Amino acid sequence: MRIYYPNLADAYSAISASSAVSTLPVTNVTHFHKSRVWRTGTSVADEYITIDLGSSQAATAAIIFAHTLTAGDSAIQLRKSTDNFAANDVLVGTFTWSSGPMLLTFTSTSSRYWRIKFTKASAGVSRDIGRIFLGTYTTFTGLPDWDGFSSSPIDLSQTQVSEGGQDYTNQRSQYRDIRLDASGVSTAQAADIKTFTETVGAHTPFFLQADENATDESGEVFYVRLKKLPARDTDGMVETTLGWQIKLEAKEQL
Amino acid sequence: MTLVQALALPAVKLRYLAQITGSVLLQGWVLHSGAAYKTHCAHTIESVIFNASTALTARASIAAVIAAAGWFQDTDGTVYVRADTGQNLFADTFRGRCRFYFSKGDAVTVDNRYYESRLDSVPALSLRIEPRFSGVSQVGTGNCSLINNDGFFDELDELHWETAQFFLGADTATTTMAFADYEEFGVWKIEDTRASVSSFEMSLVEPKAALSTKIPLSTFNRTDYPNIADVNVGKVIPRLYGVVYAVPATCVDASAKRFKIADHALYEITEARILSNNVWTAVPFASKDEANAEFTLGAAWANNESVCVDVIGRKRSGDGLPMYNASEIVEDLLAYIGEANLNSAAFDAAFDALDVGAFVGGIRRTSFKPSLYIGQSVQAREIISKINNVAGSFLFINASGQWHYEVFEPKVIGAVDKTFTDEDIVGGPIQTTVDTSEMFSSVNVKYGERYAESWTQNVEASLPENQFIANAASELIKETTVPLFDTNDATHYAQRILTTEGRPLKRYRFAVTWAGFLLQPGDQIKVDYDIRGISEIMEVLEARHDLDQNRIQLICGDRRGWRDSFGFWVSDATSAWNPAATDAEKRTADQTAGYHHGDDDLAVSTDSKSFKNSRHW
Repeated sequence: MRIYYPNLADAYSAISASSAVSTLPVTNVTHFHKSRVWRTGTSVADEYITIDLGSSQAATAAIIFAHTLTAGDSAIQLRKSTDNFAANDVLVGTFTWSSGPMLLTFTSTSSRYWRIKFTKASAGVSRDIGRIFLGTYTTFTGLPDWDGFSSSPIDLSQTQVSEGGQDYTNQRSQYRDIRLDASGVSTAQAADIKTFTETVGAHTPFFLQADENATDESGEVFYVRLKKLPARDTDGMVETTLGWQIKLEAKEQL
Repeated sequence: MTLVQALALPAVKLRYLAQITGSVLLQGWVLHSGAAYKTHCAHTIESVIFNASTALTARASIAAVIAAAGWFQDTDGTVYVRADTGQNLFADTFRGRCRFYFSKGDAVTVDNRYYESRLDSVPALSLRIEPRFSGVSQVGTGNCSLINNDGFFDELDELHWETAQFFLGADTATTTMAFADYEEFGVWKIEDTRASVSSFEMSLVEPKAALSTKIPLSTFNRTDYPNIADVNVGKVIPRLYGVVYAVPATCVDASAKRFKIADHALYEITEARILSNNVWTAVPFASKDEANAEFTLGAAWANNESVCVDVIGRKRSGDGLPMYNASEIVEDLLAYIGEANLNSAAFDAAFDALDVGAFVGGIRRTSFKPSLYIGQSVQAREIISKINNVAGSFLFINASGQWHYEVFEPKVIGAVDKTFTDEDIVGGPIQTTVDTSEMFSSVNVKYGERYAESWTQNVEASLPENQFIANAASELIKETTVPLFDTNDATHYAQRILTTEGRPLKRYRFAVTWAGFLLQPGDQIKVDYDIRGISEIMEVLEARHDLDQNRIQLICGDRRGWRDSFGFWVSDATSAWNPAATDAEKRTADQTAGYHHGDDDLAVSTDSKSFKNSRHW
């Protein structure tokens, strides 16, 4: 299990973009709602978001989430700088395009100025990005249990039945309730989870992979919020140390 | 895909959007540079409004504001304004207008605008007209609740909330509707708000509430009339429409024997009379000034007798002819109270409905010509209700926030605005209510009121069957004074209200799916409700959008008591009434065509089901 938090981008000191539609500014990528997007302009091909963290901070991962970048877009990169890209401009890594979340992990590196950059297929098109993650991640090896992953889709659609018996449905969004059950959690892992849950509480969304190595749904990058803070229950002894049982329940964020 | 097409689908992604407008007073100006001043504003504003409604020119930079009149808001919130000629930042009122974009259900980005999913509950947005032409103008209401768990609205407590405008769109699994294809379905004035920890509630009211304005607006004062008697100072200066008899004239200069009648130009001042020895006696004018609605008298007026005049009131702006058509009068009254956002097509159609078309001395023949003397301070709604009463019309604010005036006219089945069947009706069966409390069988219509002389003309009409339907032992008499001056109009009115108002008031209450979302009051719909054997064309009296339930609650009338008995002009090729047709076919024929009746009021003398099925409205 891998949890991506805290999101340094959300605590930006300054954020700017190469271009933006005035009603959909770049600050939208730091808004918790992924549906509230930053929309590029349509005059240049090279687009970027520059994030000033106010001071040099370390990161190990970046995620471009809820986006409309296409396979025709290129050079999707994470870059860093010490002088706000005046003279210093260092490539941290290149994202592999995906229509879903684009995840980049890398060896810990620090900087004050960060930039996510890409080249659109053409200057005249616009692209949306709903959410940007820049920060660190914590891997919880061995968690959750083999049978501890659950994904429950919820459909918000509303159906009414007419006098003649016919159905009328207002189609609404779907989201998933994600549940991760972990037993035999080590005391160190339990402490990390405690720190994590105290930070995000039931209020701040975060990114999560149930199994970072899986290629099925459990390997997907989920954007979720804890539905409630998990209990930490003792779970007997794991070899010679105390084990813990922890169940994370989260709601996918839209 | 158009909205109409999308709303016909049984599965659709409905998009309910709301644009909520508020404003904040911009004050505390400090000089910035040249003629440009600045002040801080905590909110992002979309426009700067000078006094009532004049929008300042938006500029792209501070430098542009310094260079020319206009406004600009910097990223730190500072608002820069250079007032235009005739504007004073310190003496006049400048407001920053803010707009907030919300959706109910899924958040959505349309037209490069993000609509935040903050509309929690919108249980009722009600637009209404009166079930009786004679009813008092009803004002629709609504309410909605917005999510405030994050304290969003707490930060906006200095805003004065103004309007809530709702838009409807619909996406499908494969199509996304452009904002240009969205339809407005209501503009509401925000009457009051209530903020709590979790929600922000808004009470909404139709802008029709503007009809509460009291008219006439002008009063006699000593500045304009230095020689007016003390007793007349402060009295309203009347407004007059149509032919009005025995209008009290106010003496504004006794020594000059000068009198004023109205606060607008008149078409004609016909005759003056003075009250002498308890007898009203015609006297000659010394002079007449229709443009200023004034006249002077000669020696016949000693100095203290009451004076009245017969006049033809307000003139049309173009040709200067009398304003006789109710549509024009309503438009004029709305303009008088500052309401200019009209649905012109509706007013034109109403004009045509009342316009007979032929000319008499250049004056168009008009049905139901109002005779209005507004000599006391009264709410505009009362005057317009009187007009609606005699003209068979109604006035409401349409979904786009425009004044919509319409004269009731029956529609044939092929022209109805929407057809509903059992398949569309949701939330329970059709409920029918019948109110017999105000039935009458005989009417005494008083018209041509002589205001100063305290008498009226009158016509009488009766329809005995109303008495017996009501199971009354004696005639049910209604006496009413109406603002008409023409005997033909009064006679027509008397005959008509015996059938429209003297009969039981029948209403149907039911809900339909979003297929009915674009209906508005006054629309006529065909309802085939097999479960209860209802197959009828109805008039929408109230349309109440319930966005929580994705349905629209309708209260419909039986088309002013006439149901499907209207006759319509048809081509020679139309089939004659077929007595052998099935009941269903006869119902459709009733709703489609017109048939000549014999003296027995039957289209076919052997078929009682053809009785009075083609009455002339």
